[in-house]
Amino acid sequence: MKFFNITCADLYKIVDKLSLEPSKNKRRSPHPVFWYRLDGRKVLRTTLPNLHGGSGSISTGFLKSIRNNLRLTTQQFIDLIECPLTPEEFEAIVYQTLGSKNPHS
Amino acid sequence: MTSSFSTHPLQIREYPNQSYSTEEEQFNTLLMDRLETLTNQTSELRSDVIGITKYNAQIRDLGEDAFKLMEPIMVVIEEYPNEDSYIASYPELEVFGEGSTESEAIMNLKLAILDLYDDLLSTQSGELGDLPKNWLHILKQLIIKSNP
Repeated sequence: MKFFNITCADLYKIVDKLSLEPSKNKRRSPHPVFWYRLDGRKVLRTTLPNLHGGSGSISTGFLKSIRNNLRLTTQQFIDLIECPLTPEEFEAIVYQTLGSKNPHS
Repeated sequence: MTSSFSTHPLQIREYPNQSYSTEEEQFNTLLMDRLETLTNQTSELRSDVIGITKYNAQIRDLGEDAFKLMEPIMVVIEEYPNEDSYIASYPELEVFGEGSTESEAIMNLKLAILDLYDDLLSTQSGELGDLPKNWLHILKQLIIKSNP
């Protein structure tokens, strides 16, 4: 899979895989926001394109912004969608990038 | 003189009548994966270097009377001319807005900042990680909520 071929449906696989939590606040923005929790606390936040908002094509800038929010390289981001990157591996990346100590390692 | 390519023992080109050992197949798969990774990285680099125009813009308000900015803030605009797309972002808060024009992207960024502010205010402090706590600290210094 190429980074630029990622679709809206592909992105929503991440929501289930990482148990991303939708923000409950009434939003003004056209796109939904999701939180990632680590050790029960909200640590990362990202915006996903509106699933019902169009043909499913996502701009490169939008994809890069999501990838940056999740602290991933392009390859890690693709692996996350395609499945080689497990939720546990993602958690380890977040611990590493946020400078927190991983209690499981 | 023989080049390093011609002396390489394994090939990725497939010949119809040639059989491959498991080791060769694994190597070919690995090579194809690496090639795809490099293709992705090259595409990204190309769009970074050629396709994107990046500049700063100043915003003075958040588009709602109920919320005032203490001072103008600098945001980053990225233009993707090949896709008719703009991203406006405020990196310190990790928020962004997208649009097909610069002004649409900025407007969506303002909405995203306000959503973030509300989102953080409505979350108990103990539930927030260090980074979101820092975002809230920044936002409290940036935004004044005026009573109607």
